[in-house]
Amino acid sequence: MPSDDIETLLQHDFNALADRLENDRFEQRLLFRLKAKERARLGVIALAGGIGAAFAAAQFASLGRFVAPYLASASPDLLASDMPTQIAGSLLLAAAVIATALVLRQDA
Amino acid sequence: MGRNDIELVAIANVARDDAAFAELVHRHQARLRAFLRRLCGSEDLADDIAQEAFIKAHANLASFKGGGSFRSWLYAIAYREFLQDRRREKAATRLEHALKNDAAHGANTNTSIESGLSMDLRRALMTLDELERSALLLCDAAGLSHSEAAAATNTPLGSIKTYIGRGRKKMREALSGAPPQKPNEEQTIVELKGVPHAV
Repeated sequence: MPSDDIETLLQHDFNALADRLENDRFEQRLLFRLKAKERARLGVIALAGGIGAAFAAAQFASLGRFVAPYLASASPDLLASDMPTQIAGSLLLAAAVIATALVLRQDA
Repeated sequence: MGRNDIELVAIANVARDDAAFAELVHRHQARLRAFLRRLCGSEDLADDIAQEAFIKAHANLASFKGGGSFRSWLYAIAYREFLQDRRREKAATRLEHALKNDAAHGANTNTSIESGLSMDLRRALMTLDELERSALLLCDAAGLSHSEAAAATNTPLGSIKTYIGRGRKKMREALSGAPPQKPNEEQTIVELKGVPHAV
């Protein structure tokens, strides 16, 4: 049997096998696994952000009380309406959410 | 007109474009897996190695310099993965099981292609040593050039040609039923002189 016959046999066998493997689900499984790493990374960032936000929220009340007199000196109406704690908390939370969203958007 | 591999690698690397890498996977996965299946004789092991190879390629796209083809770079990663897996005792056991299963069940034949001559071919391939089998599969079956096969297996070009010649001879003998000849000791020593990292 000449060597080019071996080559032909191998090519036929190989091409037939490759054709069968062309359309199975390997590709999807692989891409899913590749994206799983990215999803895990984003999950860790989101979890860390959530813990940070929760910790920050826990500080809002005391922070509000601390900054209230300064805010009041700038705007006596705020102190009179008893709003500084809620406003300061909301502003800080909004800033944290916006910052997290910006980071996630750039990472994606 | 579609982009070539080098352009896709650049896009996947610089722009972090997953679609570009997905296209590379689509282009190469079937033939890479076919090569690995014929190399190691086990479907599951071959697919595991192929998956690891693609994941490593994805993680190390920046290290692909474009001096050779993406295909030979990818096959080189896969071949290293195969060798690493081969060194593990666990893999050796798994391979033994797979080969036994293949022999017992006719290699999960779901088409007539896997029967008859194809089974004989696979058995004949398994009579070759790893480098002969790799060289023969890469060049004669997968269509890589001798240079690409040399790069993929990290083997000198001259040795690749020798392995192919010897592999074809052994295949011919195996397929014709003749017992394979033992390699000439002097010939082997001469060949290995040119191989800095013979496996």
